[in-house]
Amino acid sequence: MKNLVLINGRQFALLAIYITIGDTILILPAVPAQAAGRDAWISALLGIVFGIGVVLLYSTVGKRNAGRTFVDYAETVLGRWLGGAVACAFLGYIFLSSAAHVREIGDFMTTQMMPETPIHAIHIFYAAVVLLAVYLGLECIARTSEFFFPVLILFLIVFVLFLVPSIETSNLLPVMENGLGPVMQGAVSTTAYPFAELSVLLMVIPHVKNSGAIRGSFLKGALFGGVVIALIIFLSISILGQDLAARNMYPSYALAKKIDVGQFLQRIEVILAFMWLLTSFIKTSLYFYVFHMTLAHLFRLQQYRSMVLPSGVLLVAMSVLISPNINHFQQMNDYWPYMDLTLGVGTSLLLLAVGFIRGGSLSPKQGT
Amino acid sequence: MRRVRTPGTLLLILALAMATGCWNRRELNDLAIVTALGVDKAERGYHVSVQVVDPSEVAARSSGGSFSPVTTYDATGDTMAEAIRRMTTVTPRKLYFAHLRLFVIGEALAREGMGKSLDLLSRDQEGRTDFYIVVAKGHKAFDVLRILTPMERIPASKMHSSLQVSERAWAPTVSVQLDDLITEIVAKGIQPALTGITIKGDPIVGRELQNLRTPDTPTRLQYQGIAVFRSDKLIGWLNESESKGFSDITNRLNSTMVEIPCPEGGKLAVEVIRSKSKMEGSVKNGKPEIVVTMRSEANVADVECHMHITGRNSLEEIEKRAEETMRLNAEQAVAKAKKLGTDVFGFGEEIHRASPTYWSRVQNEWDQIFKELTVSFKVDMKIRRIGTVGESFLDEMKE
Repeated sequence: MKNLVLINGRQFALLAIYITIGDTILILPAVPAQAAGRDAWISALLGIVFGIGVVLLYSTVGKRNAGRTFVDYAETVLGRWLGGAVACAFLGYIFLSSAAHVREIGDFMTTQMMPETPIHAIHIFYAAVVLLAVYLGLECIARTSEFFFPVLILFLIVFVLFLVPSIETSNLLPVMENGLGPVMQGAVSTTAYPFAELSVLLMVIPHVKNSGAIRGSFLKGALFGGVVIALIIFLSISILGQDLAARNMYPSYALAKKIDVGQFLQRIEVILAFMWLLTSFIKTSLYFYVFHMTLAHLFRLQQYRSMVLPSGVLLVAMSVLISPNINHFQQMNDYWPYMDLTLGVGTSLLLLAVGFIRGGSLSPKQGT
Repeated sequence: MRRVRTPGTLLLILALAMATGCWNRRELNDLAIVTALGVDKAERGYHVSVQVVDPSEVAARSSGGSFSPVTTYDATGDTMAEAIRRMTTVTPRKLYFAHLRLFVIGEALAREGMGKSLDLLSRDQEGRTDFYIVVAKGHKAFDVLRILTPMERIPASKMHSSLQVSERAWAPTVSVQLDDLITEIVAKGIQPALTGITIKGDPIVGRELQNLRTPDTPTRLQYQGIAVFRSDKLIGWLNESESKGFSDITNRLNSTMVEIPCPEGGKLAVEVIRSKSKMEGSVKNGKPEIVVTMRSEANVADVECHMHITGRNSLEEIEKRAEETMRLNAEQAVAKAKKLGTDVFGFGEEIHRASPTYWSRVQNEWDQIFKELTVSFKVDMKIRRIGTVGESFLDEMKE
């Protein structure tokens, strides 16, 4: 694939924001709340700190292999077979993540909005739009994210402003009652879900026009997304209280139900659902696009478009097969963060280390 | 570009075809909108009753009036879910709970423990948590749901708004929503408290449309007292002044009337217009302590006695007496709660915040420690204005 599609630094930063917020805005708050209780917001702040570390790591990897995608770099550094194995693992990880994202949409819709609708129907329609986006390519996804960004910001501002009056700071006290342990445990998910999952962007980096600006855009995007996530977690804890934040399947949705301005502006929780559908859609599309990039690279395909429909069928099938019921899906929270960390952060560290040992001769475009 | 357009267009057309409806469509005329839900103890399980709006009777344009604006249905079942579904055998439409305004719990069930009846509402995706929960004092919830009310044609809306209004302007009621209630049932340092609702007059008459035909409405629904719980079990009631004290301590008090005795007999009332209270916990020498600071601003509202009120120091005198009344209410409320052994004020949570280490030691026997808890009050009232007239005309009234 020589004729590279290009996106600019701004679009790259936006993609980073969408991936950070992504599905996490709805799924995440309950996870640290279960681990860290009312200190979940501290976990979220710690998550940002660790997340910045993760982003710095990713952008270093991106810089070293400028002009090459993540899996390409893996093959250069580790050799055809070992690198291929890493690429295969990455491929599987991306595929599972895409399927999980589709399933999250399905589970949410059938839990909160349309309980009698078969989940397959929702999956097929959602996947159809995702496939269209993947078919149209990276530029299209990037422009879509750009187009919807003002709407996202507007909704976010509305959401936060309307909730600020309901904050009860007493829900946050006492701080760190059980010490640092639970907070750190909560920080695993607040680091992994929003930030470690940014590893897909390593496949996108070669497509960024001005490769010098990558680190800046990457950091800006991830930081913005991280602040939004931390804010949502903070609101969940301070308004719902630790018990309900942990007990609710979708705390931020329960939060949105609380909006009531003068008995008049109420029942607008769909705003949150819309925000989530939007960010999750961009995230899923980008994941599935990266899936095709990896696939095309691994099998040396000239173009990936002919693969979109068949792999889409697999995606829908996998999204249903990935867990038999909601409990299994929720229990993935026990190990999913570690998968994110292993395949994102772990692989990056491995590549950097091996690349460093084998010397700079491997990166032809060093210094860019 | 042609290549791209064809599947895209096809997809759009497909999407259009599906946009016309979905599995879960609910047409308005297929729904029975439930405004109030009542639950009572049955021999086995629950006796659940609902109050459903009759749309043609409450519509703004229609004259209405000849039929009851609401209909009630009831059914029993081992679980809430079963009882509610069993109602479909009597309801013409499927019950729709998203507009629920009021959840009434029968006193008998509340005394036995109401926790189990709450899960369905918090779990169901259709239910929202913005309805108020009250206890039918001395009655069955079903009886409460069957009383017709004037002004607001839907009794549940009447009860919803009058709870809001009375909490704001009168104080001895609390508006509690499901989220708060569940949190209070679960948390160790606070116990739930719900407002009681009772029927004044003959319940049988209240069910008839006749009840709306006369101006004095022979049978009415009235909020009365606050029910205090230990976990999910009702264990006692606060009377009106204790309830006021309760509202004041928990910073729910907004506006109310405080009546104070005058030195030469008769009474004077001040209207509290702003009020704020704060509790502060501390643990001294291994003993927990709570200080409640209550600040309020008030105006003189009603002078029904011979008292000089325009003098330089007369307002201070009234302030002192009003503070005394408020303190008394609060002390009575605490004394009652101590007697019942249940911490409805959330003092435990406050101690928890003040000293987490002490709390982790005592949290399981808090009910006992609460009985010995030292609670002191700092009451500060500022009277700002005395209304539109100075001295009362009563002073110069011909004897």
